Amino acid sequence: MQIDNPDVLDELMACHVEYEKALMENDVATLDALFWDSSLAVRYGVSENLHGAAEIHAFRAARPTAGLQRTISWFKITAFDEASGVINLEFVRVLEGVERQGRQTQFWVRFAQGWKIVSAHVSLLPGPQTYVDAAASRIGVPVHSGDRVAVIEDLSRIGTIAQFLMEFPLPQEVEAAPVFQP
Amino acid sequence: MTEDLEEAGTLSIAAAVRSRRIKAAETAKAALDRIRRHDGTLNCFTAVLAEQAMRQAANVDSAIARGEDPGPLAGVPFAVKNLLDIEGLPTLAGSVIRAEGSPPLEDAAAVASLRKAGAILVGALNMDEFAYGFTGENTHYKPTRNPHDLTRVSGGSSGGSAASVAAGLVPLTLGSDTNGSIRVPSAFCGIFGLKPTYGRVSRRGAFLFVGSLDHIGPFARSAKDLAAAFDVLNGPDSRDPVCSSRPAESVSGSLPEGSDGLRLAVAGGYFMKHGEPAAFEAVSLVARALGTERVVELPEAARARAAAYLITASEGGSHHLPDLRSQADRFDPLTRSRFLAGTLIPAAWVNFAQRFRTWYRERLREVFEHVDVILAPATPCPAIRIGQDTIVLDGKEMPSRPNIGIFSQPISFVGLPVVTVPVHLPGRMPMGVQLIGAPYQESKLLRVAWELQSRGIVSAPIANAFRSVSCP
Repeated sequence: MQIDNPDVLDELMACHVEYEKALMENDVATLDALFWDSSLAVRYGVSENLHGAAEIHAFRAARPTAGLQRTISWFKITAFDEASGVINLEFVRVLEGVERQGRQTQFWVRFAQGWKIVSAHVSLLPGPQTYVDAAASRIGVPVHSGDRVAVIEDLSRIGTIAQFLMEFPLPQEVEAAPVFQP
Repeated sequence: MTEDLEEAGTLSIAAAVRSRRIKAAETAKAALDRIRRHDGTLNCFTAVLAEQAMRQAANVDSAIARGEDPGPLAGVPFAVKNLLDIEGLPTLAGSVIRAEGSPPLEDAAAVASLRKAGAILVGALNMDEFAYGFTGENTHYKPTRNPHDLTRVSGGSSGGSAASVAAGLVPLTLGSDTNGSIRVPSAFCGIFGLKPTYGRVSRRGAFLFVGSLDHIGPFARSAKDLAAAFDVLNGPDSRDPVCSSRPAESVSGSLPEGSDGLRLAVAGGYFMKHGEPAAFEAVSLVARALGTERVVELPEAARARAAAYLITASEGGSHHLPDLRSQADRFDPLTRSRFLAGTLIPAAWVNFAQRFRTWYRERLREVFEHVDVILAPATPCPAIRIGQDTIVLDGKEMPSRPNIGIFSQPISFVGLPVVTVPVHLPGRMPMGVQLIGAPYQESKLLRVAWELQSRGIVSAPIANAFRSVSCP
């Protein structure tokens, strides 16, 4: 088996550029065309499991078109022989006002009709908003959408401050003063 | 005397009233007139108690007429931050939420002490909502303006307390300090402020912000006026759970001793970085005048600030949990997200911060075995502009509001007493220098402040725009 044939890498690179452009522009026709038109195609999104080209198309056609922009922070293509390859990438995207780290894996296969994605998986790393949403719900404090970003930022700042404090090698026997007497 | 009332401090008014050179009714009326004339510009007051003040002044005058002792602060007009209970007036603490609450049935302990001493309460003063801020900006009641430059903040959270004294509206006010809320506005407005030792002045009847860190203290235009106020304010109170059982102390008599016999030093390291040159110049000027070149380190001051920050956010958030659940939208946008975030802080961080506080207290006790008074800047910069979101410290742009307290927070964190003394240089906004002492050593700080003032090194003139006769 030949790994990373330069011609194949070039072709996959062109596929990636076309796909990314279509994604940014929410060009559903091109995105559909780049997926394998088969009931065996699979796309796992951040919050949806899509089985088959029909489900993938229906999802794309219905999704909100705003805020799809993302910045790629890491990228790698690996080609296997003439007819298959994997594209892995990591990206940063602002979702509901909060900057999130994401990653995407696409498996490409060359058919008679050209290169197609047969399987894809997109996910987001958990961020501070995961904690804010869970803790606020547990404590019973509704954090309304207008405040959410500011609360997440405030808690992130507090987290940085806490990390600096917690690095201090405080002897275990030191007690807090229940009623503080200076 | 009437024409001098504007310039007169707490003690000179009391002396004039006690010796019948002027009536309390006249001193109260003069203060009310000045408030009427200037407060539209400054926005210090959220309530002016004209009728009540004139009634109280009449009582002082009749006591004097009957030959009774009217108290050491007879006829001195004063006002208090609106988080201190005033009988019959809702205690806003800078909020609209509390405007609907039922008014308190009695005065806060500190208010009662001053009234008992013959001082006359003329009103309640503006503040950052629930004391969570260093600027005196309040979206509900609008910002308090700095009398030295109306485009700048008064400092906070006791903004009205400092600005009203700096403009000569009243000679004496009360405020509270959790992380710097007495020291920051004193510095920004160029007046004297005293944050007593934690637990030394009762907080009964104060709407708390962070019980672990809250202090009540006075603002004035001289060291001796601060001392006179402290003399009637300090002492035990069984109804404040953190109030010290230490008997009341009178410090005024000790002021003329000045800095004699005191070991003085400047705080090094952390306290010599992250500020504008003006902050360090003010400290140098005071240190030179006192003849000290000695530098002491307060170990782990940056972490002390971090711990104070966590305790503040967490206790503050917990304190307001019911309102954050039911009516978060009615909080000031300047405080809301911080209070919400404060409710979500993991307990392990806060417990660590409280335990670190014990460790840090031990280290500072060691430092104070070798020194009596430590000098440090009160703020990293002079008063910022109203609405200014960032400041540049050491070439780095930082959010202004949380960073104004970098030099005050590590000190109040362990409850040390501090007098802030004002440094005025021509053509510049005033700056403040913290005189920091060991617990219960307020008298040493006030002695040094008195000496600096007597020698003209520090002073608190009424802001030019608010003098009846302008200075050149």
